[in-house]
Amino acid sequence: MDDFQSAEETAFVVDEVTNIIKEAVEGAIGGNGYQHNKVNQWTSNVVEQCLNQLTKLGKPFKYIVTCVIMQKNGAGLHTASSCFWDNSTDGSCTVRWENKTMFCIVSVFGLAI
Amino acid sequence: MEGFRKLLAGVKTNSSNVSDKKSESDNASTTAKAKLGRFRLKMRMLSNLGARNLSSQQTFVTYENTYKMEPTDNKTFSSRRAEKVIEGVFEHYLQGKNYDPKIFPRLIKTLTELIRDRVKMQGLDRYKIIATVTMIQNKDQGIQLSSRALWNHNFDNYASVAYEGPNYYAVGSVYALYYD
Repeated sequence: MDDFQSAEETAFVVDEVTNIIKEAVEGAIGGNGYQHNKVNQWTSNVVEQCLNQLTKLGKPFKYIVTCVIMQKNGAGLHTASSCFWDNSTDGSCTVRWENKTMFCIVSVFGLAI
Repeated sequence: MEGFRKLLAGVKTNSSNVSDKKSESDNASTTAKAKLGRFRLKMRMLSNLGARNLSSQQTFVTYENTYKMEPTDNKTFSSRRAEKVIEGVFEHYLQGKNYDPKIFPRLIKTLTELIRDRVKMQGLDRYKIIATVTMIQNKDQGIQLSSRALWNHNFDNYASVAYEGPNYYAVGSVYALYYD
């Protein structure tokens, strides 16, 4: 029973992280249209918010958060990632968000210590 | 079968009687043998199942702690070497290619796998590696790509390279995290 509980605590829970990311993105860029001079601040805000909330979970994890904000222009965007880690404890989560003028893609990688 | 036995009985005399009895007993014994064979097969299958359960239980392995908190002196992650790896991969696979939405999804997957495998081959012990590649078509749109990490500053690091093609940009990043 103890082993089972500790396994639950130290595994990467995708649902929790998805919610955190969605809240962070909504909070930082929720009702805004794309503005080039503010994008830098927006990405920093999204990433900082995500990291703060993730650390508040209190799990023994190292996190990497990446954020791409792109103006809607009909251009194509491709992202891929390849990871060398421990499948049973580590995981990743990607959230795609959009509004009328821009896309936002946030990826979180969580690696157990 | 019965007709054949009757023929045998007609041809032979003493031996036929014996053979009849033998065939009857053989018949009975064959059914008994068949039943025994089926029973043995069932037992073997059950025992095989038992053996499989045991083997799955037996292969659960846990390792003792090595109590290693730092990587050995020479083998920390080097950003410059990783940058060279990424640049090499990009130049080799992206030279002279135009943006093509049909080819690029698969190409980008192979690129990330290549970068990850080549960084692994640098010989870094106990490092977990994450390689990401982002490709953006160049249509004069605005874009911002940023990342932040929560890690151990002394041993963990990243490398990032931007490559410009004729009508696209490719950004490749590698993150290496020490596993203690």
